Amino acid sequence: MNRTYIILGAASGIAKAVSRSLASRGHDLILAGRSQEELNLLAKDLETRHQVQARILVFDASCRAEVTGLLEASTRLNDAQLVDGVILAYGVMFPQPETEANLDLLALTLEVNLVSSVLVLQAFANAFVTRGRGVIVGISSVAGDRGRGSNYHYGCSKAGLSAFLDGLRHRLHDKGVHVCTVKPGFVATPMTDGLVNPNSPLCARPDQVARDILRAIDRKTGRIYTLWVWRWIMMIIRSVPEFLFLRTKL
Amino acid sequence: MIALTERTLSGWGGYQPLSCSVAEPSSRGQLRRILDSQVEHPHVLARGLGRSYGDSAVCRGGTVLLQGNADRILSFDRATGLVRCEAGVTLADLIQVCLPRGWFLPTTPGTKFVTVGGAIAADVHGKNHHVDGTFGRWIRRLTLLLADGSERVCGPDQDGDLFWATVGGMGLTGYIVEAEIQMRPCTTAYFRVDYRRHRNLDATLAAMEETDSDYRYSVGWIDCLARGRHLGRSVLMLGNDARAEDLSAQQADHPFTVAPKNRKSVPIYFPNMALNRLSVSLFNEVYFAAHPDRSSIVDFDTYFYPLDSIHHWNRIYGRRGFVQYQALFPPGTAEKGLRAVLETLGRFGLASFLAVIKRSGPANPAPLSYLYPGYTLALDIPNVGERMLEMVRQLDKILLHEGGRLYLAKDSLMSEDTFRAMYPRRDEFLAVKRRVDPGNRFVSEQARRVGLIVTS
Repeated sequence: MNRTYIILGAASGIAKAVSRSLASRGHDLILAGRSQEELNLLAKDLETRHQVQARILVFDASCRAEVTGLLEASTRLNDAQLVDGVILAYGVMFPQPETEANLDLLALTLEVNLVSSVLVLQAFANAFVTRGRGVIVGISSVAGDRGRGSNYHYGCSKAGLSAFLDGLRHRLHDKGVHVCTVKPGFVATPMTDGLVNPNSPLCARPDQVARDILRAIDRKTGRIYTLWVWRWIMMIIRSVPEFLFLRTKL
Repeated sequence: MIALTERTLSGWGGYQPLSCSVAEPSSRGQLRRILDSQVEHPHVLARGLGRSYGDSAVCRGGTVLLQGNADRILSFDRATGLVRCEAGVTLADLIQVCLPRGWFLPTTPGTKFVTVGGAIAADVHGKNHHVDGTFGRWIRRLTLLLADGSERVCGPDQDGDLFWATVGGMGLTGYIVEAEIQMRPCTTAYFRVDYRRHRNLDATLAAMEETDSDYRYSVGWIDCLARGRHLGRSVLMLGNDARAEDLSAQQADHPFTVAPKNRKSVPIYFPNMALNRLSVSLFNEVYFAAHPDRSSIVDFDTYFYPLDSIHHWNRIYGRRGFVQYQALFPPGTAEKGLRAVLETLGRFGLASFLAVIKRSGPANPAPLSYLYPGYTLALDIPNVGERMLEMVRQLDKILLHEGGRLYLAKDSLMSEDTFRAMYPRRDEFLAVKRRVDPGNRFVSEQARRVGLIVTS
């Protein structure tokens, strides 16, 4: 059945792959993001490749008013219909030494990855509950599973997002709303360019992540790691006793 | 902030890898910022999927720009077959989008894993060159980012000098952002192919001369190890577009759908000496025996891209890699030149699996475009060090003597003098480059080697 999904942060590497997968199934899309130019290019690409409707919505996740207006704006764009699902795919990651030295950057990390994400998803969740149907996919990160000295600023923003999604799923599991937490490990995308080795067997391509996300939507899975091997890696990392963990360099 | 990573890059031949600074612009904005910052990025070079064989897409001391995010198809008019896309879109993408709607690539090289930008920069050709010319002939418009960061639109009818310098210009005139390509209408995804064996070079050339006008696609495989009276024995694969009535009932139900191939991969580099005279002549015997004269209906993947079903096939040549050598001879000296090349190959006994012969058609206006009417022979030469270099020197000598020419997209070794002799229109190209890129911001190792740079 033809649905409409809104992709928040549509220009990101993972979002592009997810959008293409959804469009290949005939779903219409609302692409929301910061750069009108990029969104326009992506919309044309989806329309050309898959003959779906792709509309664009420009917003800045660091601007509170634009974030809280997203639900209404997307409904307006979708011919006054509430969208069928929302996929949150935006996020920022600065090198940790920069966020340690510059608290404004740390605040921006929290504002974008946590505060704005929670606000916008809560708004959509409320509307979905009222309707009794909806899909919410939040792309969090394995970095939120345990704070690590090298990346705990980004990690704490994603830990907060993961906890929010856990709770939301708990509350909505019998309300017809599917909430899915996606925890990617290394993914070769523009955000991680230069930070991860794209040839590593632990590093996923965006289309692999997209495939996992679509499968999770189909099967109404609550939480996924992608690649799957990260579930086991993070289980080990979480279970290392603190006194040992402190001696590691992670 | 644009992340730069150091990566070891080479061409598809894997010959002499080089450490390069690499960036993958995530957006048009980021791309423009890179081109705007002359100081941080004094030299830049676009790289597609790295399918050129030599050092055309590597650059010491420069920023190599990858196209992974520039893969958007922006419009396709199914009435006219005109497609507009970014330079990082692959030919495989275009097939996927256009073929189900009745349009195929106007011409294609032997792999669909090349980008549109790369196909333009190398002005690639295919089995139908004698009928349809090169890829550049089907480009209606290009959007370039120039060395000074400005954007420029050109086409055959709009700043034609810049356009034709960019076609075949190996990425040295500017960064290709978008292209408009005229696709070709088709009624099925299949081809009617006639396989014809010929016992030696004379028979092969005579057959190509005689039958090429009957076929849109024509190419031959040559056994480089056959000697004496079998020198130049070949299997010609001659094709035309299949019509709906040529298909089996099952194929005709879905004339544009081809079942995806079971893809294999070469997971590791073969030991350096896995390919030797014995193993290759064995392969060639089997190949020759396996292709009796016959006709069949073949899907586009099987006909155009037999090697695409084997990932990383280049690894069979081992870690030292190989060089590819494509020689073009004008009709007058083709027979003599090809014979001398094959005899030299035989003398050195350097095994080449894939030797492909093709009769080429008229040249186009691009000063660096490779083909003119004649015969071209392409072969892989494993890198065995000095003996390989000595053989290539001898081959170069034959080409220079017979008025032949090498292909930049395949070349790893050509000297500046050889290049000048083979490309008499080099100065026309450099005049355009002087106009748009006087400081040689766009440069590759190959450009430095063969002297495709502006000198003051």
